Amino acid sequence: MLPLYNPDLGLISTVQKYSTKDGPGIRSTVFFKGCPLGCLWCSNPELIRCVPDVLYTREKCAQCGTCIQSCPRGALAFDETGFIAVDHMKCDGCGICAGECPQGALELIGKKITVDDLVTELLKDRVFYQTSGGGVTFSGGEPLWQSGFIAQVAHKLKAEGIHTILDTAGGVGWCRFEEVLPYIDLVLYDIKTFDSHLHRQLTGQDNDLILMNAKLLAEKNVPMSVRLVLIPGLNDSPDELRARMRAVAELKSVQQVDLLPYHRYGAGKYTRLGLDYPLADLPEYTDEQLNEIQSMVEPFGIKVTIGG
Amino acid sequence: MVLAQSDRLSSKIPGIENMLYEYGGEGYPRVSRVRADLMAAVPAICPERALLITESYRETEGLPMVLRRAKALEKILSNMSIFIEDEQLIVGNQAGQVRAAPIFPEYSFDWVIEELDRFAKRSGDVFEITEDTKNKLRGIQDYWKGKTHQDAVYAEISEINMAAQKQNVIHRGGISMSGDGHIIPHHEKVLALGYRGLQQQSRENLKRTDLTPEQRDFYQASVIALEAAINFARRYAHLAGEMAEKETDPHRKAELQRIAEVNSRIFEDKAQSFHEALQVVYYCHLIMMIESNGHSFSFGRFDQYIYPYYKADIEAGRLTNDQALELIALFFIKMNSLNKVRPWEHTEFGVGYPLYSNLMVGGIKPDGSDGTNEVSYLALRAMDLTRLPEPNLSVRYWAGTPRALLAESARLIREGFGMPSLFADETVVPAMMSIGLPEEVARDYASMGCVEVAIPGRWGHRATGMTYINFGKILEIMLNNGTDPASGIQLLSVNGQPGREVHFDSYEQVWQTWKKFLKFYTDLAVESDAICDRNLKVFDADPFASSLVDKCLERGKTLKNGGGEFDFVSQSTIGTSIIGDALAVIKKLVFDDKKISFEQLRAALDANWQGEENQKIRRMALTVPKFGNDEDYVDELVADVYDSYLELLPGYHTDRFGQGPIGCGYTMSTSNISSYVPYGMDVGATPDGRYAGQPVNEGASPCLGADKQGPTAVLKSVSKLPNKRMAGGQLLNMKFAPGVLNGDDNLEKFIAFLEANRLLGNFHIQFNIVDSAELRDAKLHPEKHADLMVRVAGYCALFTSLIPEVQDAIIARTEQQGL
Repeated sequence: MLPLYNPDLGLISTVQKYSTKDGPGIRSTVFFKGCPLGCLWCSNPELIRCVPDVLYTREKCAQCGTCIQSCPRGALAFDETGFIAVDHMKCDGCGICAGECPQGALELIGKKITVDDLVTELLKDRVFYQTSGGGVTFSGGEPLWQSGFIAQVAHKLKAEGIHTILDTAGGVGWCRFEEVLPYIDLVLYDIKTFDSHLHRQLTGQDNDLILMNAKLLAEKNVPMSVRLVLIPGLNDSPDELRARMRAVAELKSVQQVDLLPYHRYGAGKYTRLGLDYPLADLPEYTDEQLNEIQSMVEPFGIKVTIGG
Repeated sequence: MVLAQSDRLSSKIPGIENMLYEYGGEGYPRVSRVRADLMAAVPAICPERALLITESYRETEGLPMVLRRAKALEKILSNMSIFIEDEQLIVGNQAGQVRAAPIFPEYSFDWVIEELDRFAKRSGDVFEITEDTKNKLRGIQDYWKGKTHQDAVYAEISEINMAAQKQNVIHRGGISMSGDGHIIPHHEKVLALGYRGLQQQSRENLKRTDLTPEQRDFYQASVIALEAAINFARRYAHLAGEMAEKETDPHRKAELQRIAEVNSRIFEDKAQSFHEALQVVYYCHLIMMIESNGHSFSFGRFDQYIYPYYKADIEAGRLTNDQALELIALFFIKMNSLNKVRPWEHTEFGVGYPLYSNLMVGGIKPDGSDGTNEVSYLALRAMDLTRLPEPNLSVRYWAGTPRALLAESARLIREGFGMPSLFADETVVPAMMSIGLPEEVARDYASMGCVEVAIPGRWGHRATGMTYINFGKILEIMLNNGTDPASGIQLLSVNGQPGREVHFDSYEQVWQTWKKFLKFYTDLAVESDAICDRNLKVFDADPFASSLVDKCLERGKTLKNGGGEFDFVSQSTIGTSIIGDALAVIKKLVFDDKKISFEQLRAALDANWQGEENQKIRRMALTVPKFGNDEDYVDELVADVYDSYLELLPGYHTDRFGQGPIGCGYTMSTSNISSYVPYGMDVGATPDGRYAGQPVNEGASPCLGADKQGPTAVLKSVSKLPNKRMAGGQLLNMKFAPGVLNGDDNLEKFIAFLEANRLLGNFHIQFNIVDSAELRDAKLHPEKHADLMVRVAGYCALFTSLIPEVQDAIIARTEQQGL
């Protein structure tokens, strides 16, 4: 199911400013909504669907029912405990309920924005990009699902001399890369497992397309940082890590590898979306474990960081 | 404590590479011990000065005040008890024990007597007091009845001005009842000539035949005061000599002998060593603080005037950098042994035992070159070693600042105790030029206190802080047709009718009314200033301090009487951001979008947003853009608020206009210490969505919690304000979570952030790097966090010494997270 995106109108959640972990310098990161993968550990579940989502904070709710009455599509109802259940199949993300809720318990994630409005917003922090060697990062979700929109935004940013980064999981057709690459200075590329079967188990998709796109990027000499997510017990076996690193080592345009260890920061968002977090109970890595993993992957001759 | 990961950022500091010093290190045990002794001292009330000045004033009835004050200083300095702390090398005490506050009955005394039994029971800024001290102070109570500065001020204040104070629009600050302070001596000159050289100038002048009686009195007073100051140093020389004789430890014995030697010759001539130079600077500070009970006596451009003495000793091999660092650290600790007690209602406006003694390093020199030198770095390191509220350390930076100085500053900021604050020369210099100073003069600026700037050694007294104006209250009164809902007092009316009912037809009408109300209350504040000024001229006549500042000795006048070369005054304007945020809500919801009527909004404010309908209006109000998010819609309205005040200023002059000093006009300042908390308590709900009693905004910072787009947006919003016309100082306070600055990469980004701040044309910036959880814990368990120092406003204080309301405001200040 590929969503129909309008290349003149982006669907984003937020622009995160003073972003320090999405590439060099001080950056503004745009979070695009919609993603073809369903990673078990996803820490931005509110960015998976390609329509706006309503986030519900139970603790703020006064159970007054104002939102139920306000919803034109009948997507809201009391659940058996007297709190609000959102039917995400019916909800079209119009956001009326969020405006009506007296407690601010409902929040709309996802807004449509024009190319010019987004460019204007991103240029606001130009001075910080200049003093820090930073710029703009397109992230998500899977930003390439909105490649036509990003191409227009990035084109305008390049005309202004702004450094641009694409942060992608790569699970899209190559044509989408081709659309944006002329305006992208660096690609942050996620490789979640090397084993395709495991990849399907963990993300819902094979990784053939992802590995192929990575090779194509390298062939075209596009500067890349590869990001290896680490999930305890799922994709961190020595064999799996070495296999991933061997694949990465063949990509000649890779400048750096960032290990992204599992964390639970996203857990609260699952609750607010009315979803279960599949990996809620995994232990987080200790510093010693991370150092051990780092030393295991370092011999491949590429600079490795923890966290980027 | 965050220790440096690697030294990549500051490996090359010219001249001081080979030091013991390491960040957060323990290489200077003496400094740690002297600091620990200071921290163990409990603030107390000391009666000595009060008794001595009473005795002196009794003896000098009928003499001109400036002479009476000189003689009083002489009596105090000759008779007060003196001591030298263990292991200290810098000497000079202000009261009978470390951190005790002397009493200054000549300024105001009724409150002292009234609060005698409460000093030890305060919720912040506690002072121990013995029954003996209470009795001694009660014993002189009768003498001061009707004789104080405060008595004179209150006899003159008009009824309408008192009414404005009852409305809580005007707060007459310290100087209706205390001295003013805000003086930076001309250190270069004092170091070169000594008090003896300055005294010689007064003696020469006394030989003139064309003197007015006023000039003759001043010169005589100057001679007496400087002689008393020199003799004061001789008392320490004598004491150190006695202690040396009894001392058994040969190392300390030699030190005491050195102290005796320095203090027996000091002030006769040019300072002979780095040690002596520091002692000269400290004495100036100390004696000014015994002469008068102002605050914000400041050190100016420390690295500039002290450098020749440092350099000479280093080159001659008499001093190592480690010794220099230790001496500066001891000098810093010594400043913290001084104290000031204020009435409780003033304490709320500036909590944390503040003295606001600013000490500045770095920045452009008058000739256009950069002034950074080894002492600039040593001062930052001394601050890292001492970590105490004084001095209020500031760094000036500009395009020519070495990256190493900015990196060292950033590292110190990361340590999380609020220092240094940073001033951007490219904005402050034009701001000083906007009031008519030539560029080479403006380049020599330094802060005297928090963010208020002056030309060191050449500035009349008081840059700021005389009369506080509560913008939030003015808005509330205006929205109630001129009536203050709390007191019921109405001094003017929007529609010509008495009572609270009012209607506005357009935003333009709202704006014009704001300007009218602002002028009405500013007129009153200026009138109030003039009254305080006229009385300070008499009661705060300061022959000692005046001898240290340019043109007083030429003119034969005290600073308060127009002796300073330059003389500007600022009031302190509180709540500029909240007014802009409130106006944005009125403009957007009532007039642009017509979502609610003015009457609906007023009713919601009256109800303090309570009730379902009012909550709905409040939520609407919260969606209107707020200052601090880089949104032009509201940022421009906040800028308008600044303009509305700035455009009033050319119409005002001080009492010294035409008396000699250049200027004698008003400047604008947002240096408002912790007043935004108590002033907020007085203001009802405001249209921006704030509940009654909550703090208004601090300085030029966004309203508490209003900035949601991160730290870059805050800098952008502030950059749209008329910063280059804020000659009285523009204050921006930010809070970062500690993790944001961890590691070299993040620190590099933070330095880039500081650079961007400068390029954006902002005036000043300072930080708290501490997470809210730690602050909350410190509020609950003060005993575990005795050392936790935070930025309150333009100054730092130990968190546990603050009143609870100010602690809450600091906790609520938005914590910026990098993601």
